[in-house]
Amino acid sequence: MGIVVNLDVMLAKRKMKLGELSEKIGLTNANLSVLKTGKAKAIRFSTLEAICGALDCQPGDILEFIENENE
Amino acid sequence: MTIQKMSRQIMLLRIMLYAVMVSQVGGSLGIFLLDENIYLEIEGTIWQQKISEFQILDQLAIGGMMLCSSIVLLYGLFQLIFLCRVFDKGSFFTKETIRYCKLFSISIMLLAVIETVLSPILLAYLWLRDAIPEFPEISFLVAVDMLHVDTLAFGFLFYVMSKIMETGFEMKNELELTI
Repeated sequence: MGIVVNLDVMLAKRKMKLGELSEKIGLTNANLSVLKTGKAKAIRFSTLEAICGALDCQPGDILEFIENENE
Repeated sequence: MTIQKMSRQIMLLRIMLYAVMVSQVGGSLGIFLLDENIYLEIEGTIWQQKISEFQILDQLAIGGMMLCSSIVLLYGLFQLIFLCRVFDKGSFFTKETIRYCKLFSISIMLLAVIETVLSPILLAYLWLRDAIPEFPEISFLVAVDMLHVDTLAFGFLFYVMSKIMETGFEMKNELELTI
């Protein structure tokens, strides 16, 4: 699995919608969707900082490392 | 203005591709239709014979060899025609265009291998069937020419270029997916 993005979990915990977060941090809905669905290849520190600020959480709450069973 | 310029360039490429195709097919057919001579160096002298003077089976073998190379080259050229179609749609740096470039390079390398392998096989076949008096002398220069290193190098060059394009495409994709 590698790095898993738990943005949807954090959004649910904070009872916030994707559109709301998008407005708060100034990122497009489409880009946040890419991040949420795990299609993103990388995340900028500035984006992570903005998300953590908006959701009042730590980077570890958003990103999680899950060991690959095949490896 | 730029779109018109691009259309003209694509059209020029397409015309050139069709011209190469026609000359390739015409050249191969012409050898048979004009009943050209086949020249070989045997025992220090030039031996020659018209294609029609060979037996039907030998003529088929000669034609088959030429057909094999032509088919591979035409396959490669068709990849470039498909590439033109993708260009027409306005896609220039996609997975599809890279795939066509790669297939073209592979067909050129395959052409070099086929021509290298088929010429000695054809000569041996003709010699075993007594269609030629002796096995022709192959000098160093002729042997080098028979290896088609230049064609192989050309195909490999294109292959490396398509691999670079592929890596570049992956990098571009990665950059686009950085949030």
